[in-house]
Amino acid sequence: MKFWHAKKEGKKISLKKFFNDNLVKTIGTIFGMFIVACLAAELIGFDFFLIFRNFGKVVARFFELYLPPNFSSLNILLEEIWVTIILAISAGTIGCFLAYFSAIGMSNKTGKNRFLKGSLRVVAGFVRNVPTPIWAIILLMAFWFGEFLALLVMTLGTCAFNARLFSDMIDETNSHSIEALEATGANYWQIIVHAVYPETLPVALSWALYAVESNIRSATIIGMLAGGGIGRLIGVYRHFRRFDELMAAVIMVVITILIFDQISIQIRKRILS
Amino acid sequence: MNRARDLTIYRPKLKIMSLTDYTIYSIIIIFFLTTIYTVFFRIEFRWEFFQAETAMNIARNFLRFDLVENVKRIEMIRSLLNTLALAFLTTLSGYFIGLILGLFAARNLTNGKIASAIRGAASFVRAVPTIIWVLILVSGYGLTATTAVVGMFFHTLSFFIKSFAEAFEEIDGGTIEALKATGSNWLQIVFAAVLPSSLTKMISWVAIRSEINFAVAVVIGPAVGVPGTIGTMINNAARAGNHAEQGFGVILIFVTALIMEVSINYFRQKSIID
Repeated sequence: MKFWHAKKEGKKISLKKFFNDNLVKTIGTIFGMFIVACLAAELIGFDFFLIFRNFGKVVARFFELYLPPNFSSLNILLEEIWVTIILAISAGTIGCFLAYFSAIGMSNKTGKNRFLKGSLRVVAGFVRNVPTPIWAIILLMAFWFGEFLALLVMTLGTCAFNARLFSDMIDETNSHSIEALEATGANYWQIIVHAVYPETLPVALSWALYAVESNIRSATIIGMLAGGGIGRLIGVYRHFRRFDELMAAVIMVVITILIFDQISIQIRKRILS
Repeated sequence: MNRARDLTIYRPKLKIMSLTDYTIYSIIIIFFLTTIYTVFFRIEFRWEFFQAETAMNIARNFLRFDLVENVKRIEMIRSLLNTLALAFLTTLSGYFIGLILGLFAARNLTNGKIASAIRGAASFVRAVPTIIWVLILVSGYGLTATTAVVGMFFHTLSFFIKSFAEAFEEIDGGTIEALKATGSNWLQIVFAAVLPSSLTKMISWVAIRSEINFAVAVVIGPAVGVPGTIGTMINNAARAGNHAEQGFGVILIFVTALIMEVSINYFRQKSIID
């Protein structure tokens, strides 16, 4: 705003001062983003006006195809929801278990072997930065389409994502207890069991709950690509154009996610209090 | 001797199990039992279908960029640009509209009814997977980029509403009260107190969401069939058994995501220091 005041008072202003002005900066950023957005829209062929032109068609088709939801195969739906939940929980458990051990190796406080630390960080960074469904596509060619592949992919994703979180968490722990145990002559594993593990357990568990939650959320797309759980069913319904049954499956997924959200919020409140 | 025995008898209990501990251990036990049931009794893996040769081929050809044709390379980089554009468009539009709706969803800036209505709607939208939104929109908009943008926009918007509203609610209530006492209106409160003090948090939320949106934009191609994104290219290469091309695509995604992560960390640290 300095610039505008200076202009009002009739002072001379330099170009440098003009570009340092906050309002000019904000307007410039917004304008630049607008231009980049226009270029991006041109690149991918995004049609802004098509959204409003065809909105009525979307709603009409939605009512025509998807409603009312057809719950005739409720048994299969419940079975697949159950499979999704236990797959998500077991993938979260195995992934967090492996991630905890790799975090002990990765963290600056507990990682003693420099080679192990570096290689674990590289591998975890690589697996984490490639989206999980891409791993499903890659592994699909070697493994058989089904529940095992879904479990494997979810475990891989959880493990790589949580390894970094856990290593950050171990870095943030209080180092006094570690030093005290070191002074008494405790060995490496005794320090981890008696100093690091009790302090990090509640936070690690809340991250594990989060991992299970995100596994349930991503089960749809992983199931579509790798098979297993409700996602496979949604893929099949879509392929055979049975949209009313697809809607029923979607409703089940939404209800599951909302219930699991509430449960994990309650548990997290109790754990972290 | 006697004294030692007394000490063992009257040793005080170091740790008393509380309700929190019981909750933690019961959850751990439930999780482990579920895992044992799933792995040993639910999933049957048929080893005769495991193709060791294909796995070896994938591993061997993963970094063989020399086997990828030049035309394919250019096509892949173009599709990567398309994917980035998709992620950028959805993040930007979600940010601007999420900012406005997030102001109305913060309980200290509006009344409770509007806030809880907006938040309820946002949490419902978030519970429906992105892929489903895209599937629903495909019937009207066709298999174009518009479908992908609008489908991803819903999720981004509800994410921003939730996180921005939480960031706005953490602002010190005294600041807002002081501004109200001076007679400033709602817009003045927003621009003078709310936005500047939650800017750091908003930047980090936008950074997190742009990473997520890139991953979603990669994935949305193969699952729904949106043409021209890198996920579709990788899927086609994998189906055709062209492992070198698939590896090239995966490395492209990895490098992009890594650059995003590193630059975002850099910006976040810089903004925190400022």
